Amino acid sequence: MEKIVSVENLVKRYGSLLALDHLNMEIERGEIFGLLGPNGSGKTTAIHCILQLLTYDKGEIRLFGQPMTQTSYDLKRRIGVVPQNVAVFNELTVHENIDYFCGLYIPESAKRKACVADAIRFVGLEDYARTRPKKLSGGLLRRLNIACGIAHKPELVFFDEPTVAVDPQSRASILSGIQQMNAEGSTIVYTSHYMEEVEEICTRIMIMDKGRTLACGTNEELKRLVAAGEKIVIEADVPEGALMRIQALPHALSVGYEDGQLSVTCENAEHNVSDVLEELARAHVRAGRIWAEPPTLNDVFLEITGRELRD
Amino acid sequence: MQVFKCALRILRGNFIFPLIYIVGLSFMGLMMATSFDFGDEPGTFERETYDFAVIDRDGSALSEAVREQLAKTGTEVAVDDDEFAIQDAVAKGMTDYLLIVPEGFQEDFLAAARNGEDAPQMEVVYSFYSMEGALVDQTVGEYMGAMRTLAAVSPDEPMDAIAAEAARYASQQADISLIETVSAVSEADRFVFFLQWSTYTLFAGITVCVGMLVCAMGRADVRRRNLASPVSFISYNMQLGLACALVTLGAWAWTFCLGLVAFPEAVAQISATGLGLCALSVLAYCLVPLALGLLLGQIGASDVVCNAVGNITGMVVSFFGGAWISLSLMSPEVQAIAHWLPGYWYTNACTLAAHEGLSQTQSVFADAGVLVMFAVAIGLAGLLIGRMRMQTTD
Amino acid sequence: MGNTFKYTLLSLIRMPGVLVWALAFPLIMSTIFMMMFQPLEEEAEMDPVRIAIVQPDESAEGQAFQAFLEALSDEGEDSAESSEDDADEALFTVTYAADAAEAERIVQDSLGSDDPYTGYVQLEEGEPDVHVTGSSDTTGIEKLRSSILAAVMDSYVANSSLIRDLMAQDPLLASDSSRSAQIAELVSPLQATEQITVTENQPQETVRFYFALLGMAALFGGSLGLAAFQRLKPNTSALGARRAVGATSHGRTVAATVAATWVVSFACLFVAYLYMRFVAGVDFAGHDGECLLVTAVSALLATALGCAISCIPHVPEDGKNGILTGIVCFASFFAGLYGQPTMELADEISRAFPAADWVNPATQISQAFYSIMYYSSPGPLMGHVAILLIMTALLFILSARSLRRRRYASL
Repeated sequence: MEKIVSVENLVKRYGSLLALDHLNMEIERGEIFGLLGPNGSGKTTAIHCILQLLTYDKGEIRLFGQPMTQTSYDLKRRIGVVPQNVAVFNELTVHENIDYFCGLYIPESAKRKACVADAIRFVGLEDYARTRPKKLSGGLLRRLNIACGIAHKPELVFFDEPTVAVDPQSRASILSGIQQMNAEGSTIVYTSHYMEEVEEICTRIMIMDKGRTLACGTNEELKRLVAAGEKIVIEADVPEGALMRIQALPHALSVGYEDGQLSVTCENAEHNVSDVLEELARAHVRAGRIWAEPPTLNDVFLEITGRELRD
Repeated sequence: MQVFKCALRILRGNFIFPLIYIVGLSFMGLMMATSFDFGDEPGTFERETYDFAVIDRDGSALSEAVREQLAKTGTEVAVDDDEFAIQDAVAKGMTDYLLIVPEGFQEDFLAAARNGEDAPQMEVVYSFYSMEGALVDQTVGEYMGAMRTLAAVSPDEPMDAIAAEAARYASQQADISLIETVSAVSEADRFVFFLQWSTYTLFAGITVCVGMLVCAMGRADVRRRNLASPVSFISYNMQLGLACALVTLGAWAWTFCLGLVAFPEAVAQISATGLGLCALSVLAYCLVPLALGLLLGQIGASDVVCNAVGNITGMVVSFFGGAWISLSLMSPEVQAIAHWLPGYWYTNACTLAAHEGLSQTQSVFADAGVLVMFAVAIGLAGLLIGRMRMQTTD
Repeated sequence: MGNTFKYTLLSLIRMPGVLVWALAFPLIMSTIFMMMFQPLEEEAEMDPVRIAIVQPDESAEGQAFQAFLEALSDEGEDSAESSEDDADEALFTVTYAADAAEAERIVQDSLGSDDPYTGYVQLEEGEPDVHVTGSSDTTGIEKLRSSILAAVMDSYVANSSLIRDLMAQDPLLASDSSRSAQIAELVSPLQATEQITVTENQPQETVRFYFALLGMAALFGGSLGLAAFQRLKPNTSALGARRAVGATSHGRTVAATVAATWVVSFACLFVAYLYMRFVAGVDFAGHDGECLLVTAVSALLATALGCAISCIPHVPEDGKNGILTGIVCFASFFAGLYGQPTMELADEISRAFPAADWVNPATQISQAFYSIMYYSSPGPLMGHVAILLIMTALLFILSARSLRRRRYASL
């Protein structure tokens, strides 16, 4: 497969703070590549370095197989960017904004016309073409922000947290839009800290923190990486002794009991549920409802990046 | 005092505006007030001096005599006799009065005087200030008149003798004495002028600072958040008002104290009551931009708009207060308009307070009262707008 | 490039806050100046000086004095028509008083009013006894008026002494009525000079204020440049960052931004110029071409100024607006914008430190207009235009480092 983005040993310092620590990243054509990480983990910095907005101390960045520089206009023409903050002209209307940004890539206005119309339709802003950004609601503004980045039909699009502060309807439409673009041939780089989104649309996910890659792979691969297998929840009155014994089970990682609900997190193993039930039976406890959950990306993420709060 | 502290922080973030308007431009006022030259010793009157130039194309005894006569009361500036040099001298205001003596003037002049014909004229160019030119022209006219008379009555006298005798007559001066007036310009006027100039600095400075502050605190989302907090509406507004009052008092204190420190001689001439009344007038005046700033904040004007409105209105107010050009030179219409703006009342109050002190206390209070009325009117408009805006959902 | 030009232009003309400075400001101030100066210009070149005269007695000397005054004043002539004709020439407006006490009271009462008396004169034993108020205001106008009154009275003293001497020398003269009448006529004030203009246009005090205003308005146009460049550079706005990743060469974007900003500030300034020319009736002596040139160069300078200010690091946009305001206010101050005392101080400063004018863009702009009016040779105008262009170039060079496409250590 063709490597669209290739980042090797990228190092970026802000003074004494190491923002990117020998970051490596490879993205292939046709992927929706998710870049996951807590706030301040370096996702946006990485994208800004790739786009040559920021200087970096070390490393090599290649796009479409060619080195990326500030003046690689031929490469830039093939890239679209949807920045994290809404960046549009407040004085220009929706249509004018999209036309302006599209014009940075497609100078011929005749050719541009169709692209702009497509983009407006794509984000569903047909009714607002003559509206100025100030009058748009949060969700519509985000959609304008996206339209400005993708009107020129780029082969590679960076979406930097495009769904922050967006209502569920808008979010769903944004996500399906991204999938549609991908289906039409665009490669997508998508950063977020919403697990469900990434889990839903990304074909490959990289988890980063403190400027380093912690894990990278498909959704399934990541889940296999972590020790946590399934989580078993049983409604029952569990005596102290039984709890102790369940805790002592060889595959049990953690046991919690609250409000008549026993929850046991287990390693990946064959007989987890029956082992637990066996212990309960031995204590003459009748189990109520029983269910088992496979691990979520959220569990993976929290396990890999730790649970302490981030700024 | 959370709101108050926050307001102070916002002010600190925008320190550049008070720095420019209140501090920087007040030093400009100092420069101007210091530059005034009152010249005269108290109680005596000295005639205005001037700069003149003579372009002598005649090279005669007469032209030389005129030059000498002018040099007795004015300062000569050398100007070459070519078009550019003359234009340059006039354009740059190097001379108040540029006299061109045409070729053959003496001959024509003597002939005309002796034959009783109309005297030939010299050409003269005034610079920017035509009144100064007119003054010098008066001197020249007098001297030329004397020479014409002498030339007519003594047909055989040579020119230099006529000139010398005419000079003797022209050197006679009328007795001039100064009328003792209470409003005579004195050192105190430096201080008064400084206060007059401050119409601009105070107005622009206070309007911009208060406008920005109220606007920053009153942005729709921040306002709602504040209103939703357990801080009562009154307490919130009191604290905000306190911050605005602090800005106003700061500007007032800075300006007034700078004047006091910079012009100690002027201050020594004004009675304590006079100074007190001056301070009161300045403070009353400061309330007007305070009210305008609150109004701007209520409308939700942006920083740029606050800055523009403060600066431009400040200029307009100070112009109509007579800080730019003496109102006495203005047409009655302009003088009438001036009554509708605070600058006029402020200038009036300061002048009265500085010169008359105690005897005019009531007039000063009346003027200050008018200023307060201005502030109240603008403030009420602001409140009204603020109320209307509260009820709308923006 | 056309795209950037078009949309920079569009966004600039839709920024109300910025247009207030570039367009509304000069229009408002022109209107103010109009109100301020039109009455001054419509009236005579110079207001007559108001004086009080103690009614002279019936003696020959008294009558001669009154005749002398009447020749100089617009009072005492009954018909409005004739006083209108003489309005230009009249030096005094005379009010007669019964005695010195009344005259002084008239003067004292008028002080502090909008149209005060300058003084009063009493003829004592044939000699005028002049009482003036001297400097009763800081503008120096009262002092000047007092000086004019003094000069006229000096002339009366000199002339009457001349007549006395002539009579004494030649007693025949006194008896020869035709001869004495001739002398009396000769001894009346002589209009020895004729006022001409040597400059292209008569220097009017008031026009200088309009020029200073054009200077200030031009510089405030810098707020357009400031706004445009703030939105261009990646380190000053998110919008700038987004534009930097576009596939248009940075040089072209900068060029298009400069061009669009220049067009808007030039247009604003030109509207202000037209307003002054046609509404305020400022006489630019038909030199529209040259004025257009100065307007265009000033607009470019303003663009460069705004651009240079936007390149100051670590200052938020508000702060930069403040810096611009400060620069413009101070520059305009030294160009004499803020009224007569300022103009006089500015004149003094530029005489004492000519170098101060060289670095002050507001002075250069107002002097450029000034030289169009007052010089027949294009030299001085070209000099000012050259200085303005050099300033522009310097400002752009200063900003070049920041304007060049750069990657930033942080955004």
